Amino acid sequence: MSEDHDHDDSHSHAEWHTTPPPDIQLRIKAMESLLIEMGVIDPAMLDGIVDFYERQVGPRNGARIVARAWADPDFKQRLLSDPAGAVAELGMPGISGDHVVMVENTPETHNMIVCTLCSCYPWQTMGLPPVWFKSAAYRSRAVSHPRDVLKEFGVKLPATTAVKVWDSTADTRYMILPMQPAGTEDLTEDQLADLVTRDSMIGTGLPLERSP
Amino acid sequence: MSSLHNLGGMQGFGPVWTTAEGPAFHTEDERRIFRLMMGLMAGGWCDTDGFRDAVESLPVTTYARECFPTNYFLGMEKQLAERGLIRPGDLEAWMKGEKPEGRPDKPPPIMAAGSEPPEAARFSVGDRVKIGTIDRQGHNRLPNYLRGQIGTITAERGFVDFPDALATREGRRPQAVYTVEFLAREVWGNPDAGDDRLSAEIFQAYIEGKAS
Repeated sequence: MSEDHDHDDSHSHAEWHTTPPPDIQLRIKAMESLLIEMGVIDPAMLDGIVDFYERQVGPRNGARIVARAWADPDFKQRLLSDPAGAVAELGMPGISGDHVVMVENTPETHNMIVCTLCSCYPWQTMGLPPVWFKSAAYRSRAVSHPRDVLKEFGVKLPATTAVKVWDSTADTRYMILPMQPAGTEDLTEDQLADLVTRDSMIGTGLPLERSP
Repeated sequence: MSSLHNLGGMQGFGPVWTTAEGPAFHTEDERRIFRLMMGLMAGGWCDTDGFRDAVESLPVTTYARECFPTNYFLGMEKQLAERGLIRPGDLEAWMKGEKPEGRPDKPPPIMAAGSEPPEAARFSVGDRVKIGTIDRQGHNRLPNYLRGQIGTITAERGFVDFPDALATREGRRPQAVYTVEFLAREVWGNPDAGDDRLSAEIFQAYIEGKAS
């Protein structure tokens, strides 16, 4: 997690933060093969789980939820009052809104999420957290200097908009319902979903504008 | 007492960085550690609170220096040793082709069966409460930056087993969890924070009492 390591062009932050030193890499591989040999873990079952998180659940699920909320005000009300029930209506296999609370951005309040203690994230609707969400740089400053952090993400808010940061320190998982970009009322849900970025549901970004 | 994982409000980790919305995993090591974690959790060999405790109690210099798959692996190794499955020296022996013998087929129970009746909820929405400071070694879910702060309860989140007691295997001690909202300008002493707010999930044991 240290941020003072050397970087070179070929070694991005993300790679550094996900690449153990060679001796640990070997030990991880040995642990895996030993646990398989001992029958403790079942590789086929685990391949299924990894496949689920790599291919079936991810921010595109969240984007569909947001797009439906933008397109259908009644759905939006249900989503805010009963996220699990509303998410179930969309019929995404394996995707549940359990423990997820939707937080709505408004002109008055911009919301963002963080887990200062570890990496809690709404897996249920958005898949695994991006690696930067687990970084010390984000976890330390998102609560103390959210406006600076937003600037570093390229987000400029009106001075009249308050920022509210949600620290996920227990079982509740927050997901942001961003504001619908102006002039998109005639778009289909699929087109709307394309405007919903992962970061806009974390609160470190805004939805894309409609392409001209 | 706290460890380095309790990062909210610390400085010195550099500017935030981000990643494009893309694959769930950046490296094979990241995928492999996730697979292992899922398998060990599913099999009952690792548990969330014990695992978090194991990672959080790594030497501070290790936690700070290493990337998260390394820290996860070291935490996992520690938990599996405690549970008698993979003991010190086992991986070295396995890398030479020797499989450890006489290991448990099933994980020992994480916790004695049964749980204490929940402590009654002492607070409700609208209460202004003062967060306490706790003298506790080991795992806890109290963000340092909120110790001693006064906030307002905005939601009651039901009863949740107290993570501090789960991690130490003291037992299941369900207690009320509240969402508590704080004014950023009070928490950080920064008048420029205006109406910016912070929100966190607070276990009842961390609340000192109603604020006068």
